[in-house]
Amino acid sequence: MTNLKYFLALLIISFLGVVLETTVINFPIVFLIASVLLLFVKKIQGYIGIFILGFIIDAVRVTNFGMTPLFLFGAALCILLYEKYSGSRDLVVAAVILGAMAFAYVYFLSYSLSLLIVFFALVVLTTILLNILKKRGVVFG
Amino acid sequence: MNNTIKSQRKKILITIIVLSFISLLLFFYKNSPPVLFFEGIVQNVFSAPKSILYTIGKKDIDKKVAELTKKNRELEAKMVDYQLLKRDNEALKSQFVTSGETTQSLVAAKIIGFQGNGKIPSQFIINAGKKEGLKEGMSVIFGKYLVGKIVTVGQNYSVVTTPFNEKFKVLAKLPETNANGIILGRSDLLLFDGVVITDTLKKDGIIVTKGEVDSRGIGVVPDLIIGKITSISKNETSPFQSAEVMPVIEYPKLIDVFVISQM
Repeated sequence: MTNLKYFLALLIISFLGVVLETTVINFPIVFLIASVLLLFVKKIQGYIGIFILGFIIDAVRVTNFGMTPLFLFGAALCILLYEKYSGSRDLVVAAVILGAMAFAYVYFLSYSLSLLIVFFALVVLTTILLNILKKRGVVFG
Repeated sequence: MNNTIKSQRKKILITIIVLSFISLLLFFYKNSPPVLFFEGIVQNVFSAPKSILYTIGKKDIDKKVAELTKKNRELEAKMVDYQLLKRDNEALKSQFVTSGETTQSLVAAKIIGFQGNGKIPSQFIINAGKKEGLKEGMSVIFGKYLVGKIVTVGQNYSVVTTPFNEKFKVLAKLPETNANGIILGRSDLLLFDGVVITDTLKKDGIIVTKGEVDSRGIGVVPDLIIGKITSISKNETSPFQSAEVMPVIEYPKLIDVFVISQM
């Protein structure tokens, strides 16, 4: 039942992402949703979902059909190879690889680079702030 | 326990490799019937929500402003008409030559997305594609104004490059003085370039298309309004001069456009 809830939530978020992307904002919402899925849902069903999502956004954008899944699975392969040879499963390294891939994706598919920079700056700032609050015991006990 | 993790990791690696391979295949065979069929279904599903979402907030709130903008556009179009008629009249008078009227076929489409800066988009996505008979290179218009040229055609959607796009170029002229040149996209403005130094350019002069047709009979019809000259760059030592041009239509407010499918 919980899995179904997560699945439905993901489906709604993905649908909204596909509709909003390029219609309201020139920002790779779907790529970032798929990247988060790549980081946290390491299941075969998850990868198939990412594959379908990538093709949907490429079909809607008209250009470069198949480019989004290629970028995403390229990043996933890099992460897996890093994990295999280093023996570490560091999330920060995986996030850095996905971040670099996001910049390449934005550059090649003409998304707004400035919006992506602002987004990453906000993510980094939020993470630092949450860490500080966590250490002081304000959040997460 | 370690073996289970290893086998799980192996499965994931195989899945990723297989999916990457399928993605690569689909990328190279993007024009195959199954891919086009899938593309058509997806574009159909998202056409309505994207169209509604794009339209929200684009309608003119202030009716007075909208009316004045419309009147202004009509006057600009009339001015170009007048200049063209004057020129044609002179040509007819002197040469006594008559020309047949061209018949155009238009396909109506709605803008459902954009790429680039929201205020000066470099590309638009419209909800018409191969099914409506659109082809690459066709011109997209709004009234008497040039909106852009089609660069990619999908099953139900097409991508239109606007004159702001750095890859955009179209033959143009200033009807007032008959100065010929080429309009080039420069991301935040348009450049009317390659104008012979002996030709006259005037500030606030309206630039229109000169007309261009390729071997398939597809292209840009003449006398579509592109924009107004804002500044002129002239160097006496150079054989050519150029001018900065600002489009007269507000690209972010565009919703309905027409594609010239037959010239």
